[in-house]
Order: sequence, then C-alpha cells, then structure tokens
Amino acid sequence: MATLALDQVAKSYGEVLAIANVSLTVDEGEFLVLVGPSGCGKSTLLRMIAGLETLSGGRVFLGDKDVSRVDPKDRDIAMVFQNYALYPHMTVYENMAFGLQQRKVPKPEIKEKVLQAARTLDLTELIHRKPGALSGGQRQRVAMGRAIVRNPAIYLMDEPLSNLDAKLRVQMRAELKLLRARMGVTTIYVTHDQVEAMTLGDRVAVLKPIDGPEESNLQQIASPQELYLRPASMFVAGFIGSPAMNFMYVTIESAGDGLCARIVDTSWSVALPPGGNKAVPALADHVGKRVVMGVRPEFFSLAQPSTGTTNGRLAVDVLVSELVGPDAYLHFDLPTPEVDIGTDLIQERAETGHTDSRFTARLDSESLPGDPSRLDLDIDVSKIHFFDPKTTLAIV
Amino acid sequence: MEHHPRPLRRLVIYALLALLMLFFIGPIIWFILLAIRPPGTAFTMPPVLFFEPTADAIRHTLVDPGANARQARNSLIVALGAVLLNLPFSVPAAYALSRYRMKSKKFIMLWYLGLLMAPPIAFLIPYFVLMTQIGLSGTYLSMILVLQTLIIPFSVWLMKSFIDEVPRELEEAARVDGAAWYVIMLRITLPLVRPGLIVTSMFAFVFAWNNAAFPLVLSSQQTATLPIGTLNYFASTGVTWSFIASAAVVAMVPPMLIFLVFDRYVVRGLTFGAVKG
Repeated sequence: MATLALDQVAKSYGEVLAIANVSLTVDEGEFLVLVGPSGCGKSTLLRMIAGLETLSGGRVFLGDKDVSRVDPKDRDIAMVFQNYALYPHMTVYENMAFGLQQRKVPKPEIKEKVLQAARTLDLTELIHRKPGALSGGQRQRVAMGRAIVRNPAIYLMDEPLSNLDAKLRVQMRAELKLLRARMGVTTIYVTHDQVEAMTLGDRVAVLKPIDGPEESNLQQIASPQELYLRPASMFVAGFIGSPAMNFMYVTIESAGDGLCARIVDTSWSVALPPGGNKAVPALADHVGKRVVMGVRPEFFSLAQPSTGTTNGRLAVDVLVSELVGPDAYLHFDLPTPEVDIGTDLIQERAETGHTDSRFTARLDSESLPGDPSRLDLDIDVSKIHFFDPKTTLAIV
Repeated sequence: MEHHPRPLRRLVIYALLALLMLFFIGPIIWFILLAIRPPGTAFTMPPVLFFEPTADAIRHTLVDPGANARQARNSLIVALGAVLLNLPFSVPAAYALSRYRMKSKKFIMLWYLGLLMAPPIAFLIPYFVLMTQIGLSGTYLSMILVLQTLIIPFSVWLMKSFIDEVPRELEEAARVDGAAWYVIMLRITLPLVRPGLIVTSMFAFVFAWNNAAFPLVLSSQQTATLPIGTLNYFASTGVTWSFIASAAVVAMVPPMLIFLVFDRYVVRGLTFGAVKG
C-alpha cells in the first residue's frame, strides 16, 4: 500500500518526444485509469512507473522513495500485461509462484498464497495446466492471479481486457471491479476504452499525444463524472462520451442582460440568460468573437410542441438514424464550418468551402415519430460547453 | 487444405520423388556397398551387382587394427568441444543482437554472414602460422578454436531468430516479478529457446564433425580426425577404396543418428516463427 507520484516525467526516443511534463499523484488505495487514443503515451507512462522504461526527465516516487532509477524487481509493483505475458513453459501454479520464489518466500507460504489466489479467481481446477491449454479469459485471470499473490504496493495494468471478446470483457470488467473493491490496492490501469475508464476508475487521467516539449500529455485528471460534466478542454470533451460531443462554431452576441450564441453561417441561435449556463459570466469576455460550442448528443431532445420555450430549437434534416435498443442516434448536417479537433489542434476548414459537417443527437427511440426525416430538436442550454478555439480550453 | 491428387498423378509424383531420393541416397548406398565389397570389384566393368559381402574393411577401420578408431574418437572430442565452446559465446551475442537497440546491428549481422561466406581455405595458412606460434598446433584446442570462427557466426544467426520469437513481455514480466537478469536467462529465456539450442548444437556438431580443412593443417598424427583418416588412404601405396568407404560410412553414422533422434527439433527449427501459435 502506497502512494505514487510522478514529478514532471518525460520520455523521448532519440529526437521523438513521447511524454513531457506529466505530474500526478495517486492516493493510497486509489484506482487511477490512464486513458487516451493510441500514441498518447499511456502505456509508456505505465512502463516508466514499472521501471521498464528509463526516464528522460522527472522523477517517480513510490511512497516517499524516489524510485526513478530503481530496477523493476526492486520496486514492489505487479503488472498485468496486455497479452498477459504468462510463462508458456510453466503451469498456472508455477506462473503465480514465480514472483514469490524470486522474493525468497518460504515454500509452504507460496503454496498457501497461490492456492488462495486461485480460489479467489476460480482457477483451482486449472492449477496444473499450462497457459497454452487455457482460454483467453482463463489466461487473463492467471495474469491477475500472478499479480495478486505478490501483494504488491501498486498494481499496474496495461489494457488487460483488450484481448478478450466483447462479452467476456464486460464480465471481466465486473469481476475486476469486485476484486478491486475487495483488495483495495492502489492501481494504475491503462485503457483506450472510455467505458472501462469511466466504470473502473476512481479518477481518470486523459492523455493525448504531444507536439512539443512545452505541452503536457496530461489533459485532465478527475473523477469520471467530473470529466463528463466539466471537461477541461476540447480534447477531453471530444474523447469522453459516446457518441462523441458535437462541436460547432458560434459567435457570442449580447442579448438583453444575457448572451446569445449564433451558429456560424446560420440563422440559428440559442439564448444564454444569466444563470442559464455556467459559462455565461466567462463568455462575456468573448462577445463578438467566435468560440466553439460543444453539445453532447444526449442533451438534444425531441421538441415538444406544448412547451412554451423554443429557445435553442433546431430544425434538422436527419440523414441517417440508427436505432440502438432504447436509444436512437440521429445524424444530421448544419451548413456551418466544420470544427476538427484532430488530436489537439483545431483546424477550420471553412476556407475550403467544406460545410458538410455532421452532428449526432441521441434520443429516446420510443419517442421518435414514424418518419424521423425532419425533426425539431431542443438543446438543454445548461449542458452546453464552450471552448476557446485558440487554446482549446474550456471557457468557464 | 485437403488435396487428393488422382491416382495417375500420384504415381508420377511418387516416381519423381523416388528419383530425387535416389539422387541423394544413391551415393550413400554406393559407399556402403563399396565398404562391404570384396576388394577388386569396386570399379570393374561391367559392374559386379551380386557379391559375397565382407566385413573386412569395417573390421580394419574399427577393430583390427582399428586404423580409424582413434580418429573417430578425435572427431568426437573436437565436435563436442566445438559445441560446448560455441553456446556460451553465440547465445549471449544472439541475445544482445535480438534485444538491444544498436546502430551497428545490421552491420554486425552482415559481418557474421560475411565470415560464413569466405572460403575457409583462405584462412588455413594464417591459422596454421598463428597456432604454431602460440604453440597450439596439433592440439584439439586449436581445431576447436578455429572451428568457432565459422560455427559462432552461424549459431548467432540461428539463435537470434529463435530469441526473436520469445516475446519481450515475458522477460519484462519476470523483471517486474523480481527476477534478476541471470534468473530470467536461466528460467525464462533459455528454456523457451531450448529447441534453438538443440538445433544450433546439432548443426555445430555436424559441421565440426565433417570439417576436413582445419584438421588438415592443425591436427597432428595423434589428433587427426576422421576426415583426415579417410584422406590418408589416398596414399603413395595406392588408393584402398574399401578402407576409404568404410571410414566414410563410420563417419556418416553419428550425424545420421543425431538427426534421427532430434528430427522433430530440426523441423520445428526450420519452421519456427512461420506460424504464430
């Protein structure tokens, strides 16, 4: 049991800078998820914590101890690899016992610990099999078992569920959650799957690839709920949430004692009365300027003719509608310049005359009319996000 | 993929295979026959197809007076010595070339290949001079050492391909598990490349066993190996074909036995990495 701290860690491969300016702390017993697209450095960061990659800069602390130059074997960590990395020539028992043997644990104690872990993970009957004779899910459990028996200060998990099929993944995710509740050991978990990140993590660190030494891979580190409700940047906003957040350029205008946001190149606008949206005070500085508005698909709703307010009502031509059980995903266009969040830079494609931007609304499938080709949509004004197009940071 | 050729086609294929086999096995059979022929029937025209087999030549080679028995023992010493000296050098080299990032990796590998391509005959004189000057000429060690110049490059290439197939993550998992580097080597990496060690050793053994060029200049009367013994029969007193054949047949046996016993490793070695398991 320990805390982990990263202090300004950096990693470069020759000229290529992979990681820079990452500082974070993990509390005792906390489950931190590192999430991001491929190439964001999340696995590298985990391997640096494990000691499998050397640091190009910064320091790593385990508890109070600076372990930046300590060999992995002396770090008291356990790691679950993406491909499990089970020793193919050893049985399940030997695989789990190996780490304990290296630490000179007495034989009877090893046996007791391994058998107990095997019971916990439902592996008792497979204990004398070799990894080659196990299914993917069983291998995954052995890999977990190998980490558990060690009772390390910190667990590191590198996409441990990504090699499982969808059904098994959901099942293992639930088991992992149970296991974690029972063990309560500090864990750092890498995934590219935001559902895993959101369901497992006490806190989630969103990482992105960097372009220069002045940037940081770490975009935001917060609870899943916080990331969803208050994304710090367009990158986080676009990455967390599925389907992804819709982005569009709006011009901020004064309207009475409040503001209003007009979608660029359209006549559509939404009024932002004081208190109607948390960003209103900050947006006052942006009057007359163009900012990025972000609306999550789920905060569109079918306009009800009976309701008095029509603020933010949007008439759209639905291009494609997808029914996914209780939800319906409606894809529509608006004749406004596209906002491309890419990996980090916003590119305005308006100058190329490209106005084919696509948006998604997520609606209750039962409320849909028979022919959802032209619909009126309302936006939940309080849930709209605004971002500075230059810095890509949230305006709050 | 199931594939059943029609009977006629099958017949043709088998006939071709039989012809091919005759091409490879023919000389061996011919030599075995040569060894057990009565002397004087070796090159007669028309060939003598039926004869009373005799073990005289074999007896001469191995037992009475055992003209080549000592040479067979010498061959065994040199070949086993070459195998034992090879692995401690080629395995770490192959490991380093497989695992570590280094700029000159390609160059080193090609350099090894270059050593294999050079005709050994080109080095005979320098090696002879060298070994004479350091007083090793005529010893087993001189032959074992000089053989390494070809065995090690070959083994490094072979072992590297085996080590390449061992996922790095296994070693990393062991590091995280708390294993020191030598534990990882002994308990993870080497057990996983055991087929590679066997195949490499087999080839090293057979190469050393069959090599005639180095013993020709480096061995003495006492340390001469079997190929030298065979060559000795091309003597001033005339060429005794039955003795040559007999010694050659004896020389053929160990490599054949080895490949028979370890056959499955060779097949695995040659197809290693072809299919992800």
